[in-house]
Amino acid sequence: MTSHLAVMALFAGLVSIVFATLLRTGGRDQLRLGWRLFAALVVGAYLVGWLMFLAFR
Amino acid sequence: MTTSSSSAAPRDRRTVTDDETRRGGAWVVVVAWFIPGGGHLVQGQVGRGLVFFCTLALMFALGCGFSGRIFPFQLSDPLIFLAALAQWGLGLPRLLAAMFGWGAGTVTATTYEYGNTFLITSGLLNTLVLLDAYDVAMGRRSR
Repeated sequence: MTSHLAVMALFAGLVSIVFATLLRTGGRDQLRLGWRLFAALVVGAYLVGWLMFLAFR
Repeated sequence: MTTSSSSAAPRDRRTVTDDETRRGGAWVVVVAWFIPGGGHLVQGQVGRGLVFFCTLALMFALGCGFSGRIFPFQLSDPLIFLAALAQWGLGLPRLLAAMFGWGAGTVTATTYEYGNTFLITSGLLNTLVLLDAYDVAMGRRSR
């Protein structure tokens, strides 16, 4: 697997699962926090990536 | 006199209970460090324990699969030392990696840095899981 985006999404997914399970007890709450964390990690990494590209090109 | 003797008995009973709780907490920490999610499993939180076990073991396996490196304790390079410390946060998988020579680390591989990130993060996440299991054992968190 050499797609950077796929590896990043996989990493974000696994980290989100652990944090959601750790920080929430109810299944629905865990799912909600997990999705939020996943979205925040992927979107955040994407934005930082673009900012770095624009700043250092 | 009667009052002091009646108040002493519950205090003694409580001390024994606290000692047992502390001993139980230490045991949970050892299990949670050695087996990812094991601390939750021994306390009856089977679902959470299995989620932690599957996720963290998968992260570690992916880290090795992505040609990540299992770092040695090298004091001359503080970053390598810290990475090794983080990787030791995962007991059994790290021990198996040392025994079977996994995680040799191919620097030229495209996914080398991803592999390192997966390996280091899995160890750090297990440290958080371990602390959570300890809190549950000490009664600071609801089961």
